[in-house]
Amino acid sequence: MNSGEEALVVEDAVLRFRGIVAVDSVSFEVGAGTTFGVIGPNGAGKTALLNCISGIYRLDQGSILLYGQQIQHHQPHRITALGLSRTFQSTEHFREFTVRDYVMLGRAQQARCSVLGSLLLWPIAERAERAERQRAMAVLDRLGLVEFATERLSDLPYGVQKRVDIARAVAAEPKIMLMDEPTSGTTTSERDAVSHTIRTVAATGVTIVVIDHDVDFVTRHCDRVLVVNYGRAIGVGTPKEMLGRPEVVEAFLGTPVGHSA
Amino acid sequence: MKSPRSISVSRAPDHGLSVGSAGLLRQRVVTRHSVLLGNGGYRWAWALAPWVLAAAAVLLFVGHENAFVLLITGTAVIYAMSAIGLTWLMGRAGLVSIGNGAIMAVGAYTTAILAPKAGWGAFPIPLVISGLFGAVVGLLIGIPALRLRGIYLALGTLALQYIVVFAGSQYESHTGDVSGIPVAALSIAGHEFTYGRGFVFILFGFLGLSILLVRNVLRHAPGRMWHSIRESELAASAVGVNVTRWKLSAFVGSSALIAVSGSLFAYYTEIVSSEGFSLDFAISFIVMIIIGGTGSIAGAIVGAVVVTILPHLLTTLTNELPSSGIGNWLHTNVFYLNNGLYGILVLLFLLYQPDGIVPGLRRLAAGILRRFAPLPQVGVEVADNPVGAPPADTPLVARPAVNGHRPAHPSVLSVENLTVTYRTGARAVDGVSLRVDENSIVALLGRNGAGKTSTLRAISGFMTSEQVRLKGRITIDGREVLGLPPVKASELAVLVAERDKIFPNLTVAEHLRIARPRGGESVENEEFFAGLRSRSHQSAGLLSGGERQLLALAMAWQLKPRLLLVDEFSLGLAPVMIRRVAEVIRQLREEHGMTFLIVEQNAAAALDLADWVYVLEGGKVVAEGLPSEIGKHDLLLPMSATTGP
Repeated sequence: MNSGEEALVVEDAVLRFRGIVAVDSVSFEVGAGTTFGVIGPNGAGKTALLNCISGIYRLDQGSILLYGQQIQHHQPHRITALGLSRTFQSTEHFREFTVRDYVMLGRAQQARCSVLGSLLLWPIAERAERAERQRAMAVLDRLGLVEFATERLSDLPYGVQKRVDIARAVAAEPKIMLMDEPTSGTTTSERDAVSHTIRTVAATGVTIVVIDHDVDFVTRHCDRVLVVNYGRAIGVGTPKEMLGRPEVVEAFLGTPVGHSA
Repeated sequence: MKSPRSISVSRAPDHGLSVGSAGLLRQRVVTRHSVLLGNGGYRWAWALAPWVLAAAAVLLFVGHENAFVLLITGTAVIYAMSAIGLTWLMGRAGLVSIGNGAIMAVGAYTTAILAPKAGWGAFPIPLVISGLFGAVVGLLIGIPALRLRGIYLALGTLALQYIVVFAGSQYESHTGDVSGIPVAALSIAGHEFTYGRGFVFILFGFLGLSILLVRNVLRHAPGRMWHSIRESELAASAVGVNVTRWKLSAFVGSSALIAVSGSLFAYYTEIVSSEGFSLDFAISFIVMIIIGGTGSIAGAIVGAVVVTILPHLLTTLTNELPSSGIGNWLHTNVFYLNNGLYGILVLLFLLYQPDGIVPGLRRLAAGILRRFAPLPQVGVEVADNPVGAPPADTPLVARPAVNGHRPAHPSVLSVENLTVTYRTGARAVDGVSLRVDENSIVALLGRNGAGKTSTLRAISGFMTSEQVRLKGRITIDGREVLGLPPVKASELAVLVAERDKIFPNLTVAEHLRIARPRGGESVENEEFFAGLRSRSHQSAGLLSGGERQLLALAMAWQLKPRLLLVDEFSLGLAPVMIRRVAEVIRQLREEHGMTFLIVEQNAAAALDLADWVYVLEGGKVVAEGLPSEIGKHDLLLPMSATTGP
């Protein structure tokens, strides 16, 4: 764990929707190479926060620094170019893509391509395309997804879709990755597979910010967690510290569901 | 850590319950089948067939002696180039445009003006400059497109249509060529081409080149960028796609191609008139790509041919009619009839073949191939099965294991031998039978893809609007509901869907008003609704996932259906919210006498709630029983809870 440098610094972030404060002066720092969790109940503002960092929403106030550079006014694709990738809660927007094409799309900022190139210099473009295809296959191979390469996303089980989405984000060779509920809607075995994929990614030194509902999952993966409720940060610390606090337990867990299979 | 493969593994169970993996296997076979059809030995035939057909068509038309047929052929080829440009912009990048005719006019006027000029008029120069000029105009109309979408964008491009036609007619009256500007005949290396075989050959050459180039662009990275923008601009930008750049480049590229086709059009007709580039003309290109199949190059060509030839065909046919009575009337009005025919044609296509001729033919061909060249079945699949579970050890049972005694009550829902088959041949539900008793909660458990949601949708009537085949018997209170549309089925059963169960722009109060039958009670004073009362004037889009679930349940309560179907209520909810929703469901059953069929992946939540449980695997019921019995077995382990510690 190398926390000498801050990969991401969020300072006093405020986001309002039609009078509702979705993110209410939240501040936190994520050390380079660490895994950082954001937990909180539904509607607490977790996804809104993630959308602010990846540039989909504009902050009303505050600043976001990616390796010391202000990014709160950047467009999403510019932020991707700076080394930040994100995953989605669901890949429904890209249902018609094949797995390989989707992973190749992940390198939209890195791949060198142009209409003129493909029109006039197509042998060169063809070669570049082949190289991209190989890169995508290499990423799929590394994450154990090669067998799905030619399948359409909509034909795959939910858990595999989630892993493919991670592969797409990994293909961009990011320094920092944001993951939006990687385990929601997955079964236990799928969740194990997603866990494994995330570990594989984290082992390469990528900084990870992950939002999830599954407390076990977050506890297992994260070095530090931020707990949010009603758009406010309740606290930041190690998972153990956070789950020890009564207000966190109350906000997030209620009392545990009494069933053991 | 399980291997990722374990998702589709059905383990050999070592307890009383048996897992039926036959259904799972069959699913895999079906998937394999369709993959093979796209990849295997058919691939070559598949790839070559269009080219062979195209070559035959070229020879057929170019070889034709009739000058009129040649003339029409040339026109169709030029239109096809223009339609390819439009399908690139509209079909691939999702940018709606009616500016096609205007951009062709830009190319045609540029050529008409340059052709007679010494030094500029030599053949490829006017064509190239037309293309460049088209690209510039494309850039200009692309800029508003950065902010406009859908119908607004189409209206924006309509402005271009009026501007170009106005400028053209002004130019014509300025030069005195009121009936159109004459264009010098196409001359290559001293050889003049006018209508006829030579010119048509040249046009086919240009069409072939356009197909090759556009195909390359669409197959390479740019094609992916446009595809992602078409699906969702916001998601595309979050993935790293520079939406501005790729939208503009789609406009620039396609406009250049369309302007080149306009330039060829000027050479071919040897006259350019503003009257030729009417709104009808522009719209006919949209008709072409809709009829042919939006987004496909072959579709654009087929559409162009159909739309170009059809009016002439109609004219020819009416010529043959006797020159009296209705025949004469048809003959004199054929021009108007043609316009009407367009409308009817588009309507028919939108109704019966919304994805166009080419995808329709492709499906037909695939169907024929599948019938006459069936692929090897299960035997090969088992040997090829990479799962690793030795099939011999896996007991396959046809009869589901039953755990626990179930008292006989009057049943509300009865499903017998339900089979749901999708158009692709995949069987989502394979002979499922189940029963839901009055005032009970029955849970349907299983992994993703086990067929739970398909079963639910078949019961609620949502399958009738999709392309699926349903077999079996579904009755609610003894009434057959299989095949009833949702509106009819909703009198008996209401579905609370996984997603999209509310209307984000309506307020909570408006939701309740919609879902309240005449004279029906209002939910607002019920205890379980208390949490939402304070939010009744907020739009439902601002509700959290759990609150949406509660709202959907409240609406269902007002409708008082015989049976309430609930799909994955726990999905994406925090544990505290799952408990609250479960509490409301229990309350609705106990205090309001409602009957539930719930589908869940979250076994803990469902076992807690249900009176009777069915476990689905590979489209079949593999076990049923009391929740306390089912919960004992590690059959549910691979699913289990999404809950906390």
